[in-house]
Amino acid sequence: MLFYLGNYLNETVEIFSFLRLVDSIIFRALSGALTALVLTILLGDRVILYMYKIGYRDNPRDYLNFYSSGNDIAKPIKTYGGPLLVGVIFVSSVLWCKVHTGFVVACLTSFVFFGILGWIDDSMKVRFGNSDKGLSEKKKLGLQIFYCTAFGFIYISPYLTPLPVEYATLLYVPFLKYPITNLAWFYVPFLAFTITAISNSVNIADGIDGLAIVPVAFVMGVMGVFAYISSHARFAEFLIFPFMPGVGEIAVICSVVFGACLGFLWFNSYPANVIMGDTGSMALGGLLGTISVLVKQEFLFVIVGGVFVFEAFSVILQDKLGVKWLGRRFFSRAPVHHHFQQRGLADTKIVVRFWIVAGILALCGLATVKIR
Amino acid sequence: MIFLLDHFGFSMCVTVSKKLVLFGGQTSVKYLFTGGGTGGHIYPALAIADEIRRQKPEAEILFVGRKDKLESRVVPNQKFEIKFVRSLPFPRGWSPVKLLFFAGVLFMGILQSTIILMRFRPKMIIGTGGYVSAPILFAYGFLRKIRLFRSKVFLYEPNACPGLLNKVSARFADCVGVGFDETASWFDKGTVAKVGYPVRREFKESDKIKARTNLGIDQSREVVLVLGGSGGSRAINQALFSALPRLIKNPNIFVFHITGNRSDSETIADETSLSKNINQSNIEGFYRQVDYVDEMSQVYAAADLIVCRGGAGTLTELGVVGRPSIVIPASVAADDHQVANARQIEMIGAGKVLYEKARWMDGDIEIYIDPKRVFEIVSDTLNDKEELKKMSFAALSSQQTDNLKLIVELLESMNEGKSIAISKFDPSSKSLRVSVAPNEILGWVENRIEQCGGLSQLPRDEINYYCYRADRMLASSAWLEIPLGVRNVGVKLVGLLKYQQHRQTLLHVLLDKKPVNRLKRSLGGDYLHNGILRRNIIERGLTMLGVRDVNTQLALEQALLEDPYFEVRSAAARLLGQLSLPNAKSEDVLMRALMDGSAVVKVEVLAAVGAVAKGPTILSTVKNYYQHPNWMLRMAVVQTLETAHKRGEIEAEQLKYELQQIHSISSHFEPNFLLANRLRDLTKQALSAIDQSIGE
Repeated sequence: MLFYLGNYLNETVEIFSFLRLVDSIIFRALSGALTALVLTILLGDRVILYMYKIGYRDNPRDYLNFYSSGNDIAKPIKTYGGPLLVGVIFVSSVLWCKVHTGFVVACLTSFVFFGILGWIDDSMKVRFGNSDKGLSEKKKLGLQIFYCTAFGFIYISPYLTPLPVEYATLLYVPFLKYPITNLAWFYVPFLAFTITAISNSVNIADGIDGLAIVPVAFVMGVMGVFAYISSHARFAEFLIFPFMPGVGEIAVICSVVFGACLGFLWFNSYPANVIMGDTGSMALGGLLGTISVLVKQEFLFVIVGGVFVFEAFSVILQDKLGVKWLGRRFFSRAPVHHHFQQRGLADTKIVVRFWIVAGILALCGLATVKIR
Repeated sequence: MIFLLDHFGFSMCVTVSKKLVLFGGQTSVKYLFTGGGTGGHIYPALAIADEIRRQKPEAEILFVGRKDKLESRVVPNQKFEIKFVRSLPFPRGWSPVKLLFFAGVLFMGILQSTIILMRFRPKMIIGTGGYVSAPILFAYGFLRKIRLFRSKVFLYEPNACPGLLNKVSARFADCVGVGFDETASWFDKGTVAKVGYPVRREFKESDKIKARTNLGIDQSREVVLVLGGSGGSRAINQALFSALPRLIKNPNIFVFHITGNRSDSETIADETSLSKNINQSNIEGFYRQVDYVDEMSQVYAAADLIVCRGGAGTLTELGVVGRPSIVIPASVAADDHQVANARQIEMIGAGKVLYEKARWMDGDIEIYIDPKRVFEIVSDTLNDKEELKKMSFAALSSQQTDNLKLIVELLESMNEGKSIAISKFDPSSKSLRVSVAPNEILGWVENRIEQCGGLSQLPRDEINYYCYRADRMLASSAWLEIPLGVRNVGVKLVGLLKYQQHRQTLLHVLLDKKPVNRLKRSLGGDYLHNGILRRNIIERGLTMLGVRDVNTQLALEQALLEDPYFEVRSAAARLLGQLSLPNAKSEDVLMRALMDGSAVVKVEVLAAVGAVAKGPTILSTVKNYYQHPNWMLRMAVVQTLETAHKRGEIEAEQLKYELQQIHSISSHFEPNFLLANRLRDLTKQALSAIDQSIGE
């Protein structure tokens, strides 16, 4: 919205000619991040109090039998802050993006859809007072795949896709200059798998205070850089990226999410009084998946989001392969952060170590800009 | 297409009705019975047909069944006409080849049935369940759809849990008769009626002395009838062959054995096992073996005691004849309905339940019937004449209503187009029959134990039932069925019920080393009795049984040293520590176990060392871990020293010296929420104060 206002004032009123700044993606990205950060911090306390009042409190599983086994310690009480995160990101994005472009519409639709899905899950958990009584795995996956397939068809159709048509079904891989193959129709299942997998892996990683939010911020930062390069004709030509005009708006969204994540960490850092719940983690994951598909960096997530991939992998290995099929465990607990908890590492230590790994992986991802 | 069918149907209808007029039309009512496969489906049909024939000799009755099944022999014996169609059971699993074959056979059966229906034109179709009746019912459904043929359909469901076919075909039935109250919930409320199990008239009219004369059995003997349902039961046959030598030591006994249908190889195997167990000349006059008896009422009447399966049909017949029974419910029967029937019989005092047991045999757990128990329970019951009389009376008084009359009246009123009088259902009967699903049984049993205030307070028959469930689940081949494992649950149930007889079985499973296939091994699998199962055997089974004996100790030590799965080793070490059986060898085993690669196992082994070993050994062992980088091991060492000090193995002076050497750089801490803790404590205080004031 502010983009349109600035543009209008710049064209009509002489005094506001400095407002041509809003044309600059970098300016909007920075202001967006700042807006999101400030909004989150200002609203945070009130939203947490409100959520506490209406009873949207987390009822965590006692993975280590910690609170029930003789330790004279009360369970920590945390509220669901997902709506705060989703709301702030949505508002800041609408404020600072060119809302009419296809990229922004696609991103925000995915974001809101996954957010609502997570919200349903959270409210079911609250209603039944049990963390195991949310949406069932089948229903959740079914809805996600349904949405992603629909989005996939829009994505590859020549009339509706926000991307330049010739790039839509190409498959890019980090460290290689040129696309390895044209997936054509197979791009739809590939896209559905990518977005669903990324969304759920973020959901899985969100297990200890602050564990998921910082790696999400890192990945968003890297994705923002890639989006900016792809949108810039000269950079794209020089670095041999697919040039996609308009994809720079995604850089703004990435930056907004980065800011909101930092703002959220303000409250979510250990010991947290608010968690993002399924609402936040699924919305962020869905957005992340959509962005990596729109920027044509699907495989970059495997590197940058290595933490999430590892977490998701540990769950699949433990549950599907290990317990259900082989009848044994590979980790003490899955997802893997619970394994470390079980082995006696303090929560804070695990979280900071994950951040360090995520930071290194983000740098590796950034390196693929030039090393290709 | 529909139009064409309609048109075709109409023209056929015209020609057929012309034919009927030509042949002079029909005067008598025509009944078509369909159903079969096993006795439970045929005998109700036979009973109803018999009663109709008695009341209306002019009625035309036709049976439809499968050529190679029981009905092809039984029905002609009762002087009823029978025609045969092709049919197959619905294939379990989704194999496309089987499905296609099934569809082909069913289609042929439906064609045959259409011809039968169009020629016979019954006024009434009575289906008693079983896949044999599928072609007729579907053919009727088709003919009715194209308005070629209309008749009244009565379905009868003898079992507590209805079969697939009856569930499907109930939609075009005019009335569904059920044997049990809870079966009603499967069907449309408007058409379902409780009618009970129909028993043929001759059962009621049977007489003991006459029956024995007919069968050529001495009147003074105590006759034990052994039968395994219409299909026969190998388990019962085998158990009887083993129990026979002891049974016939009683000079007054006569065992009448109905083996049921057997394949040739089974017959030969049975004969060899019989001749192995017993000298042929010894059993002359004590034992009679037949494959099949048509006049069941005679045999029942001649018997003093009956050993049988828990099918609803057999038990109702026994009630009508008034004979005590020893019921061995079949463990494979769907939905446990045989067990429910058997417990009902035991509750009213008309019989006793003998459950099948599980045992370790040839590298796996199998279900069997204990011949010793069969002998004991039969001879005990026979010896107690007073109780025998009481049981007969209880059996007789349980079957006072005339189910057959009820059904025939119902058919009559349907025939005349009257509305059916629906009998009321009794929801309270459900509580006894409840069969708990495998994933709920643990919670159920825990609840029951809590309600009754301890395992010892639980009624004996209930414990027997739960033990039987444990047996069955142990013998199940699936270790895991979502959400909980079946054999896994069996192991937990054994622990929960303190079911000591199965300790040896658990040890066998724990030490069994049959490997899984290569694919699973390459991905980290090990034995067929997989890691989680083995861990649960130790953690949930053996720990709860809590017996200190050498066998258990040896098995645990072997598991600790050899098992490839770390959780099993750590559980074994923990239990060894808890049982604390001190001897020189166990110390040695623990020392060797300390070489283990897994820190989790080491922690448990260290704790066990503290509980078992002598002072000097403990000190020399734990010294190596004072500066270990893993804090959990250092923690374990502290605990080991503490336990050893409590046991008096280490002096206080020595302990102080040792503790000073352990390094304690912090790497682990636990959260502490001051406000939340305080709030929780105060709330607890307030709640207890409120409780007290209410108590006063």
